[in-house]
Amino acid sequence: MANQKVDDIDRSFYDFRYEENEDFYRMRSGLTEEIVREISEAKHDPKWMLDFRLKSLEIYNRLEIPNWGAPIDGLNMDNISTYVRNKADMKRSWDEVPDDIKNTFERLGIPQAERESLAGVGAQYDSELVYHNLQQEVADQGVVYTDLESALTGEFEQMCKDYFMKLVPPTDHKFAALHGAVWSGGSFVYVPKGVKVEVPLQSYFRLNARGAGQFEHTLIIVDEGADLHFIEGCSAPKYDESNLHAGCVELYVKRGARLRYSTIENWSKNMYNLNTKRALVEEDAVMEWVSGSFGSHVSYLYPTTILRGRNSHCEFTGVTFAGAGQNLDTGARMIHMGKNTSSFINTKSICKSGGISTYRSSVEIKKTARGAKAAVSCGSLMLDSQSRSDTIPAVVVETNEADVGHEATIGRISDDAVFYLMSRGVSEEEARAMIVSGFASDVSKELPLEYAAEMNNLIKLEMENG
Amino acid sequence: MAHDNTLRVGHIPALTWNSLKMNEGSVSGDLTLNAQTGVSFRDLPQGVTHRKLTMDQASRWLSDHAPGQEAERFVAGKVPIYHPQTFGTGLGGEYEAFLNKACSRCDLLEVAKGTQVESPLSWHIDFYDGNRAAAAQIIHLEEGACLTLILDYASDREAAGLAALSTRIVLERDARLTFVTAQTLGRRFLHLSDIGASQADASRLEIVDLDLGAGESFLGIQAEQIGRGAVLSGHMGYMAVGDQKVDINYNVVQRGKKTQSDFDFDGVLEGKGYKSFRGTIDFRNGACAAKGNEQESVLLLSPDVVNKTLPIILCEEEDVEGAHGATIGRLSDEMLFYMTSRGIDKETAERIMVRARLDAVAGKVPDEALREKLTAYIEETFSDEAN
Repeated sequence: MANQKVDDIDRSFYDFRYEENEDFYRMRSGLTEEIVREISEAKHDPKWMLDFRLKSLEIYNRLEIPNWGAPIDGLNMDNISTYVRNKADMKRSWDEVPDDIKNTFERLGIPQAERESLAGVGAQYDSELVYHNLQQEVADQGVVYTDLESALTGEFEQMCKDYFMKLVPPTDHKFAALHGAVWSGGSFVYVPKGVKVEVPLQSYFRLNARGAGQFEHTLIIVDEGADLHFIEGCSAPKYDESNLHAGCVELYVKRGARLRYSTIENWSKNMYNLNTKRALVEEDAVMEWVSGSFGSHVSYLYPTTILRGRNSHCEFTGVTFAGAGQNLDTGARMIHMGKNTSSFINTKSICKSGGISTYRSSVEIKKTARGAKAAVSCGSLMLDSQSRSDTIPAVVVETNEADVGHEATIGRISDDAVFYLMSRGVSEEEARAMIVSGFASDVSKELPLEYAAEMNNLIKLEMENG
Repeated sequence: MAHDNTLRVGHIPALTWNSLKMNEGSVSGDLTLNAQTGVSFRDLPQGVTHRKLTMDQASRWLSDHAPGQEAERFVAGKVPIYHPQTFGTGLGGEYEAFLNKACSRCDLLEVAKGTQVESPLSWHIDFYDGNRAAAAQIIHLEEGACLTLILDYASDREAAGLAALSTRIVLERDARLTFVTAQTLGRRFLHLSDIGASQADASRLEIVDLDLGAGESFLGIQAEQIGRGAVLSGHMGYMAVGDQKVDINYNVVQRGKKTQSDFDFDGVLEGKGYKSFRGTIDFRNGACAAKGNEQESVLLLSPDVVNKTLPIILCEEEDVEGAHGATIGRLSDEMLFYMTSRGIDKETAERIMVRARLDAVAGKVPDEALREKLTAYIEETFSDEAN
């Protein structure tokens, strides 16, 4: 076995780029009403959407930058272009996608994954979807998987209107307002009543443009008794200047439905990842989050679940790996409103080489959530003393008919465990690498094989660097 | 000494979402004081001295014995919202400034080097109806000294007033202090109690705190473990019944190698009882082989109670072990089944569990008479609530 050591994640696999050429349209940098109007016009928004964007901009200008969390002083909206797109329209056939973009996704393995393990794929390059496809047999079940722009003006316009940014209103926080003003791209998914989609759908987001923002919106409605696994992946090449990702994910899980939402996030280290994800879960429904956060310079990411329906349930499983130059503030929020709701948060944080990892969460049991049960388990692993790991979990309980348990631990790699492995012929460095892999296995074992392999690769590539 | 404003107290060193309203406590209303209480010990053991300082003298004394400038520089942790204090406390700078204006003197109790005080030293303060008083004290144990100090303050159950206390503790190398506080103020009292401690090498601080009375209580504990092998252990018991509110901020900063902290918080909420607990274990770089543990257990007895818990671990040192745990909820179904199968009804079962929880803290009070008084107080409170 080759010598291994635990080191930063090697992102060279993702760090390739194609320079923008005359085929690309780039909005001038900054954030003004004129820019918002121009984006709206370019996207052929209906009138209500333009009004929504302008209202969001007004809210953005009014709201303060959060006083908690990782510093985002290095993010200057005056230097961010909020809209960059290839002039070609979205394609339904892979062969028609422009070569540079096609090569990008080929290198990331997306078409291969589509062929082998997915029911449908959406690929976003900078601000717009460049490819969207759904397997015919899944479409025949009535499943809708399309770009959000098409849904906004087609037969699902009213549904979009009813659900778009209702879970995450622009007033929620400054970057939700920013998203409302300049959102572009993203997917709309509707799974009809009782339909079980056997293999996952995937959206992949690639931000290639220098000094740009990506603001895709994902809206998923899983109707009563339906079942879906949706996978989201993201990456970007590294630039010297800041990039911004302020996407928004809104998930509606109807009565008796089940939705699993898996994310492997591997943005480059110049990325400010200020993403908002939220799910509303109805009676007897199940929401499952699987989240791996490996990239970004700064991350604010706390998928939130509102357990509104009686007997609804949510599980969040997450791992965060913060290396040199990274400040990753991640976690989850559970809001229990319905009777006999239950939730479980299980997270692992790893930090090294000066990386900062913060686990932040809240479990809120509202007065109406009689019989609620919640458990939180968070573990942090410090790999050196240049790094920092913080745990900030909150619990709010407003009824006596609830049971909440919380446990958190922080520490280093156990000397005993290393000694045990070494006594069986494993070198110390190999032993440390094995222990870190095992520590993150809670997430990888929840992913489909191909994605678990990708996640393990992210860690393994790094370990092999030594 | 007139103050009528809002004090922000007990800030956490790393902020979280403002919407949770858990980043700090807020004391509002009439903060006017009309008296200052003091201590008078009749017969102090040999090696123990007591003197009164002006607040200016006390500030200078504290500055000379502060955990060091490093504490001031880093006390903000991640987010610099603290009003820097030379000598950090759990309730923080605004409360310190309030007391510095409100008080005219501070009691300094000192135990000389190597002095082992065998019997606990008791300090009882009676608050009366209408009493709005402050008490500031410094407890200083020189190298190798050992003391148990009991601070017991009470009033009639129906009394109204304000009790504002501040205790600074300085433990030199190998010093050992057991500090016991028992509070049974009237339900119409506003109560603030603030502790700041500095611990040198191998010093041991044990805090036993039972907060049972007062309509609204703000409790702060901060310990700076600057010395190698310093140990903090503690057990706090509280109850919030009727419309009582309890706000607790606990913060231990572990700087020294092989330091240890281990604190348990046990509480009972009934009626419209409200409790907010913020507890931080803060491992600083260099605290090799440090261990920190914090456990909270809250028994919820009524549908209108509100419990907030925020147990934080901040860590910038690899070689540490930190853990916190919380169990919040009603009497477990298993326990209830066990009790009822033995002919005990639900209400009685809950009373037994309340007693078990709070008596575990009361049992650590090294004064039998006070222990019995506290147990009786708990019984009486829950009898009243039941009626």
